[in-house]
Amino acid sequence: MRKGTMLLCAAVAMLSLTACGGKKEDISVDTAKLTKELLTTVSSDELSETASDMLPSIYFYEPDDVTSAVAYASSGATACEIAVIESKDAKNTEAVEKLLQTRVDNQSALYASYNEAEVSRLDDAIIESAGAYTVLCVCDDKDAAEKILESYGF
Amino acid sequence: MKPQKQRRRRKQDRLVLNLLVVVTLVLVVFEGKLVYTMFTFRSSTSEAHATNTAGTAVSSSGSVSETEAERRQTAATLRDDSDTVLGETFLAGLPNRFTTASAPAENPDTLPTVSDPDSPAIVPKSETSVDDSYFSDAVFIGDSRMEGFRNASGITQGRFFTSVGMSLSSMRNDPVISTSEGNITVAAALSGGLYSKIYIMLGTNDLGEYNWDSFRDGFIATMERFQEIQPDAIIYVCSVIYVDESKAASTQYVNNANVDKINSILLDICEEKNYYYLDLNEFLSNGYGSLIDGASSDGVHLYADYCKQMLDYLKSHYIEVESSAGEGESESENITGAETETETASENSKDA
Repeated sequence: MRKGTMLLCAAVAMLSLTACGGKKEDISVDTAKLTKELLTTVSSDELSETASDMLPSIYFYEPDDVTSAVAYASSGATACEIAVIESKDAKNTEAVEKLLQTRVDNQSALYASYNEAEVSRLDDAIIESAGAYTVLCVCDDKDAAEKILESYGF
Repeated sequence: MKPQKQRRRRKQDRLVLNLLVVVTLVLVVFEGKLVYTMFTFRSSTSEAHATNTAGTAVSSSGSVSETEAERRQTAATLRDDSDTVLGETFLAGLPNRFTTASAPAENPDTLPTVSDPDSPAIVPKSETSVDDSYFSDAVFIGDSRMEGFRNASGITQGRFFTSVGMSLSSMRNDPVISTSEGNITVAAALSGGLYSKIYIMLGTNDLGEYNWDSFRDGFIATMERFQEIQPDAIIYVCSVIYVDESKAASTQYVNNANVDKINSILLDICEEKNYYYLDLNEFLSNGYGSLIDGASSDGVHLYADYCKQMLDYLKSHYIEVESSAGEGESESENITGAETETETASENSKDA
């Protein structure tokens, strides 16, 4: 009986630990390295780094709420883009995710009448957060991008 | 014994002699071939040079009576020939200060990039360049090419109201400017701040508009509307950048003949309305009325290097203006949905 209880407790503890392992709440990400890795998932376009001063007006965030942000965008040929935003407060990531979703929705509406093939790419956009970091990734290889993000704790 | 020895010796001598003859013959044949090759190579090179020179002379003298299309064809052929020289193409894309005597821009046979090179509306190169702070009270309005410029040039100041696929019609009427509250019209976005300079890059998505009078009237009406919203701003009109027709072949109307046509209209408008014309093709043309090779992946949108060159161009081609804005940046960043609707409503009432 005692043995059974002990085994049950161990199993519950193991399960709890496994559940916690999915998302790390307190992580530190090398944003430049992550961005460079995510760039490998874009094969149809050559993305360029956008000056950080331009990013608040593109992604609509308040500069005071953000520690740092890196983004690579297209020359206009495709809807591909990668952005990694580090919020000052991890609680703010939900709001940043909403802003990034607005960005994607706006782009979808504009591309619908310009280049419809890009709309499906935007439909597959990845918006994920971990700790204080939020990522937007519109790319060619979604599976590869998700694997990369997983390896960083997203 | 003696005669036998002598005979054997003679036989050996003959064998050595024969061997020497064979070796000499082999040497003569190979060396001779080498010398022949050297001579023939030299003469063929000089002949080719003479032919090229003659060909150029014929085409330049013949081009007087040629139509624009024929000239373009001739130029394209010449360009293809010159493209075999590595590096020349790249040099053609650099600003004037980097070009060499062999660059097409200095070739008298190259095509002009504007309909009237002496037009007073064309902004000349200034002796000194400004820095990014010049754009702190500027707003950039345009299509995906302008958006690409924002994304890739490294520009750090200025407000951008851009949209993929922006045409004259959508610039006037449609909600195409992205905000945190959704997309709004250009006029509504422009109303959210105060600006001293307005840069316009439009026309690539209007190349299929063959009713050029309609385009002209619509463009003027739109600029006048923008001037109403920003009465103290000067207006820069960027030329439509040439395309690489071989890559942008999916749509027939996206061609350089149409680019030249629309640019001549834009230049006329600038002269008439005192706007400032920025001839971007001055550095983006290959010298033969087309986008320089290697500047774009799809024939339309520029690679980062060329966006950076465009930024350099804007910094060296400008008009001195007293800034009456300055506050525009912070105000424009706070465009809200409420403002959007108000502006759109007031616009509609005005139009009605």
